[in-house]
Amino acid sequence: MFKNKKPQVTVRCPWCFVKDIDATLRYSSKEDLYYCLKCCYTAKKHKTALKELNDVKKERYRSYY
Amino acid sequence: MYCNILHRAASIATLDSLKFQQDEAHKLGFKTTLHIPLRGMDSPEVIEYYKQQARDFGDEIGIHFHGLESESYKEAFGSDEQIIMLYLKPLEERKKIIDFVFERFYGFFGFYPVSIAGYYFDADTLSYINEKYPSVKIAITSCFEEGIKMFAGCSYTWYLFSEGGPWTAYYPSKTNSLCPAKAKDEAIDIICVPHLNRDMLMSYLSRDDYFSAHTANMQRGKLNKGKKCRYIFDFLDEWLEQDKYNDTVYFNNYTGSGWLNEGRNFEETSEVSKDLYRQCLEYYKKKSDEGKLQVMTMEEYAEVHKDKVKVGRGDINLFHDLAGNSGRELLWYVDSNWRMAIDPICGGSVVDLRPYAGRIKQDLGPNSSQLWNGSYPFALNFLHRQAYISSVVGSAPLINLRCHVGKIERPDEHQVYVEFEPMVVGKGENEIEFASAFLFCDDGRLYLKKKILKTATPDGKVKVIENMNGTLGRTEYPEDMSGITMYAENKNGETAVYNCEYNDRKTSLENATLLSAKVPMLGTEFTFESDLEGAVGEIREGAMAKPYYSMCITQYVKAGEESSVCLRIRNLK
Repeated sequence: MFKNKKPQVTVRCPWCFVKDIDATLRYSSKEDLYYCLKCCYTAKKHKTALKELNDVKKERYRSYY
Repeated sequence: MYCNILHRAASIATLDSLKFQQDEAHKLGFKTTLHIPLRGMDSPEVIEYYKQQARDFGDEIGIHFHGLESESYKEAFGSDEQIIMLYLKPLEERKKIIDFVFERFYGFFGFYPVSIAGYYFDADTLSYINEKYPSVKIAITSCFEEGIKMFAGCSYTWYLFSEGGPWTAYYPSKTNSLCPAKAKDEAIDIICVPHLNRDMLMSYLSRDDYFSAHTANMQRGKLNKGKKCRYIFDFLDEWLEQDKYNDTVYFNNYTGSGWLNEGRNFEETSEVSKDLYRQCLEYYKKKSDEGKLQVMTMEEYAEVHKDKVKVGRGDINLFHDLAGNSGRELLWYVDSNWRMAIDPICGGSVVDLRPYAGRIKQDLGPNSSQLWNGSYPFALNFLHRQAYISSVVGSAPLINLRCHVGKIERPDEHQVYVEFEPMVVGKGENEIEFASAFLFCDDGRLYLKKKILKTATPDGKVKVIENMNGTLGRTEYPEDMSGITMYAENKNGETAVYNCEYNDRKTSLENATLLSAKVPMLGTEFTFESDLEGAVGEIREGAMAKPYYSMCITQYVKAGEESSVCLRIRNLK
């Protein structure tokens, strides 16, 4: 049976972050996928999720990016 | 601006990070206030370190009431609760825990503290502490505007609701710790300060833990790009601006050491967290060297406050959008009668109002009136309930107009005057240029003014409507308005009265002089008063699909004249 574990380095869901919600992504080894419990966000790679989280922050903080 | 730098280590696991924080502060010549939680007192190394810091650097030592979960608590109270929130315990149990912590502190350090901290302290708890431990002169007693949005943001696991309080340092009333006292005889003799200074715009729009003085919180809000974070400097600069409008401004940065540990802060590393913390303190040093910031211990600030801050004084805050580049700003006013947020993006409408005049008594914990929710209730809130105070000039609702604050002045020690930049509404022969203004008086009056600067037709009369949509509550969900009484009277002695039954009844009176809403649940009466000839007053009771009452005064003025409606707040008793 596959176990879904939290990734070792925490990354939050970009879509939830936009709504001011801290939702740590989970990882499914069966599907090789990072996913969010609170919305439909998924990412194949940890670095994709990090990049998309950073992209969201750039949109939000236009004074700085 | 006066600044406290506060640190705490909850256990030996965070001691290395605390040492880093302390070393950085001392290198810059700053004294800190070190708070120790009960769990920290279980560790001899932590205790010894605190004593050594106080001895060698003159740092102050006090108590923090978070971090009660510990072996000593388990031994004393027979409970291994994983999360203990003091303010959610019944009052009698709270007193026992407080006594236990104070005596344990005394046992290790040989004195009782001058400063203490917690995420929330109610008035009864503070009164108890004041009576039994009179050494305590200053306390961190709430987290400004942490409540509804924080609860949702933390996936409904963080049970702290302390919205509705001041952002400043103040003496609290004996009835409710979120209400500033009017006078010393009404006050608990402990100065209340908030946990962290916040981005005062994002406190209204967002969860404000992301946007606060604490650099680890800024990282949580993704305001940094690695070791670069301009928000650290912009944030302090925006707070320093408040010195222009107030005699004294209070600021604190309280970073628990755990935040700088590896793996503690989502995507961030300890190396980045420490570097940002160092940069933040260095910026405080820069401003201190410029004479704009005075860093001191909490005990030292308590002496300053006692000398310089008049009890019941009105405070003002004008905060601009720092990160979003929107040009948006938000104005706040607070005194012992009320706290208000006024939004220029809504034409200078009042978008949040907390009626302190009602002095609502509330307690938390099992079998209490409020259980978890310690927030001071609002009488209106635009974001949560679409209830606000706004105006119509000509035929233009100001709620749809975007403007900016033009000037803030203090005509005398009891008043604050705010004027917005002139606005133009209407077209052609209906064009009107006007300036909107507020005059806050610290006896519970607010004058809503509109100066008509120019009209297209020289003698044309301009219709100015001041409208209040009022409600009550602490959350987004409507609450029962039964018991609210609406009243109107005019110069001819005609009156109208409605007890709210949700029937949307309304009455209009010519030559109205007084409109009133009595809200027993808030212990408050709001009145609209008008001296102007020919004013029309309307009251409306509200309905189930529109759960707010309305009071509305219409005045007619010409160019060169000024409309003026007085909104007054009174305690119902």
